[in-house]
Amino acid sequence: MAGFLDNFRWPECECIDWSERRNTMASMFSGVLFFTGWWVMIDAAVCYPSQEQMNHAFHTCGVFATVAFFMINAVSNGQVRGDTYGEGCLGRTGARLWLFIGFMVLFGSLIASIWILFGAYVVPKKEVYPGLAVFFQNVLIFFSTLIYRFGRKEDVWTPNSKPPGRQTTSGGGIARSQTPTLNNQPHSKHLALPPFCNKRTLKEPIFDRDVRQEFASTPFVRTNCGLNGQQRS
Amino acid sequence: MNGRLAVGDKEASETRLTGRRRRTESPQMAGIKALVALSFSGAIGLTFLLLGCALEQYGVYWPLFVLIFYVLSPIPYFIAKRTSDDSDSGSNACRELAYFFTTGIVVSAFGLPVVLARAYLIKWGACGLVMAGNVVIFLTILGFFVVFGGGDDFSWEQW
Repeated sequence: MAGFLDNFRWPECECIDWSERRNTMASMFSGVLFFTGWWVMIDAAVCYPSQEQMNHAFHTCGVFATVAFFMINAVSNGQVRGDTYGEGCLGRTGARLWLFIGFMVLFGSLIASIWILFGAYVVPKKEVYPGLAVFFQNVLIFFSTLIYRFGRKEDVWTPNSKPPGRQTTSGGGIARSQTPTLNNQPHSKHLALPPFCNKRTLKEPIFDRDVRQEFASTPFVRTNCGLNGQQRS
Repeated sequence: MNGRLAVGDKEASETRLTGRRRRTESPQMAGIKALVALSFSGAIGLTFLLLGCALEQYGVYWPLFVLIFYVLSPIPYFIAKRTSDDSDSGSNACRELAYFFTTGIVVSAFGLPVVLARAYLIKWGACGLVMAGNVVIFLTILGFFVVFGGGDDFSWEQW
């Protein structure tokens, strides 16, 4: 009787590979939180339309939190590490600065919403729902940002590891992608840089080093196809 | 006459006896059945939505605004599918952003009736009917994507 659940197993579902679905689940959960936050605020704005009940300036907290969400998620971890081909407009330092400012705005809006809740609603003993709505909007956007930023895994691979087929390798080190691109696309597969940087400038050609040497060490390349100086058409 | 039938004659003899040909289900049939089932569930969902608007005790047509969300919901996914040039199964930031916005649109379709009900524009019964319609319609849209794929995997032979 004591261990009657020991042999109980959840029904196996082989069709879903959770490691692959992690990114999808994280982005969907983040979407739920983000938009729930906004609808809470819309609800408060609809139900308490007057300026005395809810000062319309309190919307700015949520707006800044949304701006912070897009700022934080616009740069990828690869850009902050300095991995990517080309440097975009600002390079690694610019990416770090961007991320820093984004997080500051996010934390600032959270603190501002707490201040609004206590300073404008709890202490003056007004009807507290609009203050709670501002607070929950910012809390939800805060957690949504964190989940979207840190809940997804990026593909990081080194020249000597397998390319990420069905699994994402989070193996270490500064990495550059193995496969040379054909049409000069930058290798970072992540969201583009901020809107004012709409063109990537490649400071160096993509083949700045002998990619074939790196290619040769992978298990997917036969070593007798011209990499030792033999002719190859 | 020997009593042994060749293997291939079995179906022929069965056809002679019953006058009916056994038909194996072709991929086209399976595709069409799925299509009919999905269109039925879509009709049920829209019925719920319209009931929430048109019943005598409700009578207001504000909930029809969720139709905008129904139409918008597959669009981010299609945009991401079009604009992503890498088809590897690694992480694709554009696709994840599309999932983010799609989930947001679904949440909005549930949030709108609640806000309308709290503002006393519609009754809570209508809100409940609209949300039931939402569930059915979004399951239908999901079913479309599961059954028929979307984009590259979409094989025309299913039609």
